[in-house]
Amino acid sequence: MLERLGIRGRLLLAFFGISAFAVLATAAALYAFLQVGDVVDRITRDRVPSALASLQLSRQAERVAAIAPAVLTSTSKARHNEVSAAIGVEMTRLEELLAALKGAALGTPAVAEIEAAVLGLRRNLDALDDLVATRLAVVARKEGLLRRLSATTIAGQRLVASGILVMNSRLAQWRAAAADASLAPDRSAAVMADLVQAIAAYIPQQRAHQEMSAVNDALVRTADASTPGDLALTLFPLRRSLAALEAISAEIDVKLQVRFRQRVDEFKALIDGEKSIPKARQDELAVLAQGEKLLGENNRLSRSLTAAVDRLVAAADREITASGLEAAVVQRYGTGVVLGSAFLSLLSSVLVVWLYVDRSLLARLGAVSQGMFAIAGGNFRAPLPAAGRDEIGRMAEALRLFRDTAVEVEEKNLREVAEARQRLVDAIESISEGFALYDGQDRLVLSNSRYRELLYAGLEEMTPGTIFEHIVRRSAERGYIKDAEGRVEEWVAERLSRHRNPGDPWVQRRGDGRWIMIGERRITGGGTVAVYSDITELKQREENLAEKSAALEALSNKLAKYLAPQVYKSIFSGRQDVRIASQRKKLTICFSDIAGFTETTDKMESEDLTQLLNHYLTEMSKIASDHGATIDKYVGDAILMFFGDPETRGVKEDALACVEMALAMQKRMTDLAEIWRDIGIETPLRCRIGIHTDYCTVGNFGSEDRMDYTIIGGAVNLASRLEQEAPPGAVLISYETFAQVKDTIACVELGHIQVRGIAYPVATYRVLDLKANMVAARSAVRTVLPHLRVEAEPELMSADERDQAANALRDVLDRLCHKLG
Amino acid sequence: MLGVSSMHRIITVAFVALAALFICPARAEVLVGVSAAMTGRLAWIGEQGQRGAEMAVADFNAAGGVLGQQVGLIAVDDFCDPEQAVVAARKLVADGVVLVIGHYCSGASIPASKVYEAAGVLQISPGSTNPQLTEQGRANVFRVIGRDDTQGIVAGNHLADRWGDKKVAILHDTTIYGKGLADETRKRLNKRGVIEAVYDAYTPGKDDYSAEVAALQAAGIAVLYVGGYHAEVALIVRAARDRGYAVQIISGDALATEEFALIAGPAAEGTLFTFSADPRRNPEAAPVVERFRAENFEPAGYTLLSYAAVQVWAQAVEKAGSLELATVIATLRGQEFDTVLGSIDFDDKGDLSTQNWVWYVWRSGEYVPVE
Repeated sequence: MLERLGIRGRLLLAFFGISAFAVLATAAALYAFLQVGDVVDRITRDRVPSALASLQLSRQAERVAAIAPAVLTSTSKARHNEVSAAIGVEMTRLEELLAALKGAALGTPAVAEIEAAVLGLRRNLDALDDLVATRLAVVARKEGLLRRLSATTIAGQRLVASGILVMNSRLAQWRAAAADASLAPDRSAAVMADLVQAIAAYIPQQRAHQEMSAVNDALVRTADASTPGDLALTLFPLRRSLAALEAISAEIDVKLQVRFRQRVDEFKALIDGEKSIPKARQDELAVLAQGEKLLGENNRLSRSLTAAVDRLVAAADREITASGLEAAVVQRYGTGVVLGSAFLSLLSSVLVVWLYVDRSLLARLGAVSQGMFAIAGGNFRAPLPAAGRDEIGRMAEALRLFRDTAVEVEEKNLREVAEARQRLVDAIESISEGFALYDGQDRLVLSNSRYRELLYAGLEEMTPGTIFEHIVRRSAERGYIKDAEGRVEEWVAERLSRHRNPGDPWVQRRGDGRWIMIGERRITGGGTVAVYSDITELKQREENLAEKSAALEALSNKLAKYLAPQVYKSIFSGRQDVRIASQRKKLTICFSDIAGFTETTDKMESEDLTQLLNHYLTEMSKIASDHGATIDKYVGDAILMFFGDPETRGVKEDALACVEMALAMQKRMTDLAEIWRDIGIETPLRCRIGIHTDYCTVGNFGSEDRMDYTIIGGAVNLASRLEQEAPPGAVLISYETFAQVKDTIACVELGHIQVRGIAYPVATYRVLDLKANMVAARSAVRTVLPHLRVEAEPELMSADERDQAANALRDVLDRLCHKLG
Repeated sequence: MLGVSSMHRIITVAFVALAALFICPARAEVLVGVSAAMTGRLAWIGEQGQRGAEMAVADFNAAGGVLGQQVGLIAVDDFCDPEQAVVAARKLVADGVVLVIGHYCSGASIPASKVYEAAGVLQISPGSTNPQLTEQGRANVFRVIGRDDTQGIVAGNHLADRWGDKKVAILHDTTIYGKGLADETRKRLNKRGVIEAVYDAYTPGKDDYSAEVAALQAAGIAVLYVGGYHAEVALIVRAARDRGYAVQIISGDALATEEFALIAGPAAEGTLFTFSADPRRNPEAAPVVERFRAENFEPAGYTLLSYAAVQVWAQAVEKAGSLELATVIATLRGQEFDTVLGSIDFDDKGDLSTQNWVWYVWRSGEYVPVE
């Protein structure tokens, strides 16, 4: 039966059992709580308010009783009003409290008693209040009477005052007379008689004065008499004094008699009758006695009130105590039930855990989890718990199935890995480059046989797991590496550094003369892949090519000597190809040769001549080169040069450069003359130079096999002709050139020459120097008039020339003078 | 619960407050004080003042009071003493009077006026004649009797005119009133070219002045002007007549008291003094005088002046419609009042605009105007 329920059902059953005890405990606690609450409710709702109200009432009643005497003692209307209002407030409060008490505790006999007492108190206080009002009226009446007594006494005494004054005056006079011995006897007797008369007149006044004072004093005492007996006692002397005053009135001065009688009547009214002071005091005493009685009654009522309240409070107290006991009993039983339930619930929990959970569930779950851990750790042979019909049994069954499947999968994986590895090895072996794979710790993992034979033929340690550093160090020590010869440690450090931070492939020269290109690359996971290619053949071909290139360069350098530098540069820089092409350009052509070269060198040995000529040509070529001239050709001792191709600075600048070059050559010739004299050439060699500027055809001329870069045209002939016309050591230029340079260069016109092929004579100019250098030129004579033109440069003239010039000018002068004469 | 209880309390408090409103006396009466010498030698003057003020207050109350309020009267005794006057004034101020009728002696009025000014109480004196009372610049002080500077002129002129060729003596009792009046008279007399033969002081309160009179007789004095109160003057007159010394005695307003004749006896006959025009003869005063006489009281001296003082105040209050001091003072200064003294008005100092001194002579125990 239980077996079929499964773990869920059985646990549910256990929890229901435990919960049943908890529900039982809650129900018991709830019952006890409700019982106690009921009792507390009864106390707070019924008993406490009524007890509190009773106490407040009692206190209030005491307060009223305490204030009440103040009513009776109040002597002014304002004070009475004040006290009366205070009592009114307290009484109202008392009645409110009574109403509250009646609401709180209905029908209790004590309450009826209290109510009667409060009503009595109220009635009593009202009566007291009325009484005090009466007393105040009586007191006011008495005080008014006393004021009147005072006024009457003063008025009465005022009437007798003048008599007293006169009597005193007489007495003083008599004393003075008695003292004055010198006074005449008759005068003394007269004074004495005056005194006697005054005394006689004064006696009734003095008696009146005495009696009025006695009446006043007695009446003032009466006003404060404490008992009716005292009052009656004072009446007799008062009446006697009054009778005396009436008797005296007959003896008073006639002028004052009426007023005196008035005063006596006033005294009489104050002594006897309804408006007398004794009557007022009697009324007051009666009122006071009544008041005392009422106060006594008040206190009695207050006490009975307090007693009733005490009984009420005591009843409430008893009831509260009884309720408290009842509540305590209920609480005790409730606590017992709750504690018992709690204990049973705890006990059943322990039993469920111990008997079922611990023994049946946890033990089997532990076995299952141990089996799982074993499988996870790879131990497929570990024992598994027996299968069962409940959840844990099914879990064990599932675990067994899982283990069997895992064993199968593992075997299959192992087979696949072995195949894949074999394929990789085959692939690596089939490539022509050497291949090696190092792991993160730089240990050799994999390499092909090409790698081993290419780099480390004969090195035995190439097994997987060998450290990279070990391999390279061994190969360096054995001299496999050209670079490492004599510096093994240094090279190993470099190699390791490069291995750790591989960049582009690089080439390594081996000890046996081979070149290996090495490409290394880091792979993910920290390893390094290295590929080694043999590039020895490639390297040798590259070296052959370099040798050929060097030979070609040397050839080119030799060739440069036979070509104009500009032409050479133009050709080798590729700007102008070597081909048959020409163009027309305005060039400045210069011809130079050595005057009488053949005659001068005739006697010289061939070697000396060659040396001299080469020296000369080298010097001139250097100057030409410096000034940017293109040297066309050397013909024996003659040189043909031109400006304007292949580079031009402009026609004018080219012409100027050419003339400056010619001047520089002439100057150099002067220097060279000194050198040559030293080596035995007596006659100085002098140079002739002709320059012309004109259009020419310039370019490569010749056949496909051989070409010359040169110029062609009549201008070349004219330049040659100018050179032949030029005096030795001079520079002769055509008008075209002169026109270009005249601003800068000082020239002198030499005359015209005829040139074959040119129809008109050509104007020639001898170049003197740069105008900047021509200091002497300033002394030249230059006059241009109509029909007269003189140009003379005496400084430049020789002595013969000067004579000839002087004769010519003298002839001109004679003819000019003769004709005039 | 709390709410209901609070409501109860509020309602209770409200009832108590209402009750208090009804019980508290609305200002039932306006209090007026009268301060004079009620006992001693000047008791007769005090009686005059008190009776006058009482009658006036009773008359106003019978007619409905002042501004509809009843008037209450408090009388205090100042003994005609400067120090006692200040004490009496403080008592009246403490009782809450709005007006004081008094005082009568100048020596009492002057120090008391300072107390009244500080407390904001109106003072109207029916008897103090010393000029100083109104010369102090206290706005609250008025009087319904003339000043001694005018009384002195009348007396001085009389002495010069009638007795200029005789030996004149001037005595005073050293009080503010007595010395002040004597000096004013002497000033006038001297101004008129007459120099008194004797100028002297006597001590008040003595029983016998025979020695002073004997000295004057020896000096041959024919006329004696006394600045002092009636009791001493009566004793002096009596002493002179006892000696058979027929000196003419002349004095001031203090002699307007029946007691002068009671003390002096037959010697009073012929004594001259100056006083305000006797109000008993005014037609306006006739009913009042009749009522006094019905009570066997002769309204002589200051009686009707005191009555008039109350009248002046009551009329001023009615005209102003307020008891407020400043308003009442302004009304007193600006208006005329119909009194038992006739129609009167006040100048800016609080003195009567018209001061009329009349000569009286004692004949057969009564004073009568000099014909």
